[in-house]
Amino acid sequence: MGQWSRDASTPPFIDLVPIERATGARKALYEEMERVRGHGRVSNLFKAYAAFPELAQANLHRLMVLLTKGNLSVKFKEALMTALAEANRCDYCVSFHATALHNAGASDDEVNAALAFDPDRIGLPDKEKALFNLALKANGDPHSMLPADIEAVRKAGATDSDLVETLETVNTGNSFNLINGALNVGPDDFLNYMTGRGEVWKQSA
Amino acid sequence: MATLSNLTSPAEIDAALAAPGLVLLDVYTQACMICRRVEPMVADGSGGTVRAHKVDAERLVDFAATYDVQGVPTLLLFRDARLIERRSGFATASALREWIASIVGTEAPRTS
Repeated sequence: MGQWSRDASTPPFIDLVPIERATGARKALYEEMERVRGHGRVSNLFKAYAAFPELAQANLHRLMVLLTKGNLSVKFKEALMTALAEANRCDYCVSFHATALHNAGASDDEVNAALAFDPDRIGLPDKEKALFNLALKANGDPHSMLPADIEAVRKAGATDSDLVETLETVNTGNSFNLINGALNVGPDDFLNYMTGRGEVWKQSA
Repeated sequence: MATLSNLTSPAEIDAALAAPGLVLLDVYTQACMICRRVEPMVADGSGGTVRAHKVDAERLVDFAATYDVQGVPTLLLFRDARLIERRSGFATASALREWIASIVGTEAPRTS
């Protein structure tokens, strides 16, 4: 498939300890995740992170702040992370974030628009459309950002807090994509939406 | 996300440029991370209006020299095998759609 996409035929490079075998700090993390996301809903990503429990806790709390605080919609943030997962060729991440985007109210067409990096068809307000494009540009080449790029989003109503919230969404998406890619972590068994992106990429290569 | 076909020889480039209409060549190098990030943008930003391919500047050195590629990524837009526009650096899919639309004079069709 290419040197920068997950090999689905190979197991993960790290032990994803199942819920029933978790002990100590790992067990505490899993229990916290189940309180937030529901019984059995401990993602493979956080099973991987739980190899370093303190870091896993820090990332979980960071994620909760990002998704529950701030002024930007969850739909916007999940659309952005769906797009980044597509660009980073993380099939697990595409399924996870597309599911969350769908749950945030996006239609199948809007989810596909996120996968096509097209903010005009995701059903976002003008400010978030502008921030979506800014985020993709910053992700592509942070040193290509110009005062005009910032001015454009400010004209659409973005504040300093919105800029930070947007760029931290990029950071969060990318960091999770990297962990999953580098450790060959595959999708959770509770995901059943937008699965199989890896096969789509393989066929179009 | 579509993937760009990789043109690996002068003959393949000539065949690609012989296609009618607009042809976009994404010139990259293997080590260029920004090139990797722009490829999906090019694939989605060009769909339906332009045939897009990619060319490794370190593998096809003469091609890169012919078109004075000073850095990567560089996008070269051809019509009837003649270079009509170029741009360098990262661009979002939206920016590429607008760029192509400004060249063809109509709104570029969107991929689904």
